[in-house]
Amino acid sequence: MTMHTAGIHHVTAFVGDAQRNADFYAGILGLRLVKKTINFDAPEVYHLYFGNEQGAPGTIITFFPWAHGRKGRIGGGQVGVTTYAVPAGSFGFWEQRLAAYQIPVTKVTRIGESYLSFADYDGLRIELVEREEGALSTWSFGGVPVEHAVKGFGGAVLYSTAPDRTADTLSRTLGMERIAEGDGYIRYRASGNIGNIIDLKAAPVPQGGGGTGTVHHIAWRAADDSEQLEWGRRVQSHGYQPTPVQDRQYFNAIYFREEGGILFEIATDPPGFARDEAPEALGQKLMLPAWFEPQRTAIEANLSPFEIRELEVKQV
Amino acid sequence: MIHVFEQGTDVTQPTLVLFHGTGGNERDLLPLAELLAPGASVLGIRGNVLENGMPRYFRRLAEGIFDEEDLIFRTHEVKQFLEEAAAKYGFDADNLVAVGYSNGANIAGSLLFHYGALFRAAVLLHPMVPLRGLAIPSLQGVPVFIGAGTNDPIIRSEETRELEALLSGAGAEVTSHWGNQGHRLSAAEAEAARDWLAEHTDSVK
Repeated sequence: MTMHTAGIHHVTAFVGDAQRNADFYAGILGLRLVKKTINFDAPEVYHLYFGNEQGAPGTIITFFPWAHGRKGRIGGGQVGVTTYAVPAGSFGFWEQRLAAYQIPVTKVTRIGESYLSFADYDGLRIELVEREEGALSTWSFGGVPVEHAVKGFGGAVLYSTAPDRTADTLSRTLGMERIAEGDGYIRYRASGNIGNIIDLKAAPVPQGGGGTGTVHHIAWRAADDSEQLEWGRRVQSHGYQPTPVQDRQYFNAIYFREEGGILFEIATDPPGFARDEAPEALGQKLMLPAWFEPQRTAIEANLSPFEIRELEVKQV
Repeated sequence: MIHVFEQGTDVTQPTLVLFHGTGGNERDLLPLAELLAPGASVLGIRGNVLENGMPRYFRRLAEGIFDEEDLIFRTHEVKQFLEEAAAKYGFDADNLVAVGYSNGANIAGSLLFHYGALFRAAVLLHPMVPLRGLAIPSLQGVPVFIGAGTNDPIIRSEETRELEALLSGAGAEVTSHWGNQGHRLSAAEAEAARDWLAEHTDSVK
């Protein structure tokens, strides 16, 4: 049986200050903070998840805000650009909004589509694309109306040190369809209707350096634990050694590094973010897995507080 | 630090200091040491950091993203432990060979980066560049063996070459063995390290 991933489950990146991170993704892009937890390997570092109202797979970007982190260098072996989908006809709104917050934007074209290209406060590269596909957002925050709000990921641009190998993994291992080529990119489509268009830079990109301002990994969707098991076997049969299943609280994860250097994860859609918080209260409280709960007071004391706040427009 | 010391039958040989990979312990590399230098004294050290219950020598925040502050702290901690262990067990602190695999190779690399010729020689199996932007002390006269995999899923070949350049740049004589067994330590690699060590310990005795 040929398996097809629905597309992106989430993207995880390293950034600097937590407040600036929250200001950018909630304050400017209007996403919802759906989970505030900690890096399970480093409890003095937050793990923040931003997405749509439910934090549905295909909408979630997660951050480790690490003030002492070394600055990374975007390059081969990484997700170069994270693409967000906005409703058709929304570019005017977003151009004005980004300008109002003094975010420099350029308009670029790739394989017949226009993109608004910019960077977040830590240098992560983001772009917006207008897409018909994908349900409208139901979350409105900070002056972003639902008719213009980010719907979730449009996809991502991958920078590989060995694009031929990465191409092979996208199509043969992950079951994506190669649908177009042009402007120096190869375009793949996954089976979902969000987070489903993956552009691979066709030429090899020199190795980047991990650190703040770079994406650490991209996760692909598995429907459930048993499908994830199948993915694990399949990844292995294609010559990779995936990690054992790891409990990430809101999904289960396996990881492998594809031959172009990019760290791939396969994550399950369930159980999702309402596992330990009511849907209307997502992201309000610091959530800890049971094994960290006894240390809550010490952990909270070590984290610098931040808030989700509406930003003042700097200039209109 | 939790450790094991086994007195060798030949005390003129360098003492092998063993650094395990993530999730290992102080005894993991004893069979490798037996292959590398039969009769040599060995000191196996367990990493002081736990990641999900798995011992490591220093902390990381995620795959490939090291906590550099912790790495530096732990590097000095191991150095101090080596001095204490030399005093306690009576081995010659100036006649040590480091043998490390993966995370253990990275802490051994960090010791070289911080303390220069702390070891007479080093066998680094699947190492990464532990730190960048450091002025590395002289490694003149320190031979270093690197075991690498052309298809190592954790370490890119470019990173191995960067490490080679950093070590050579500080004066080390670097020999690399390339296999195609991924991140695993292969028999061919261990045997190559043994032959290399036999050649180079003659000169360091």
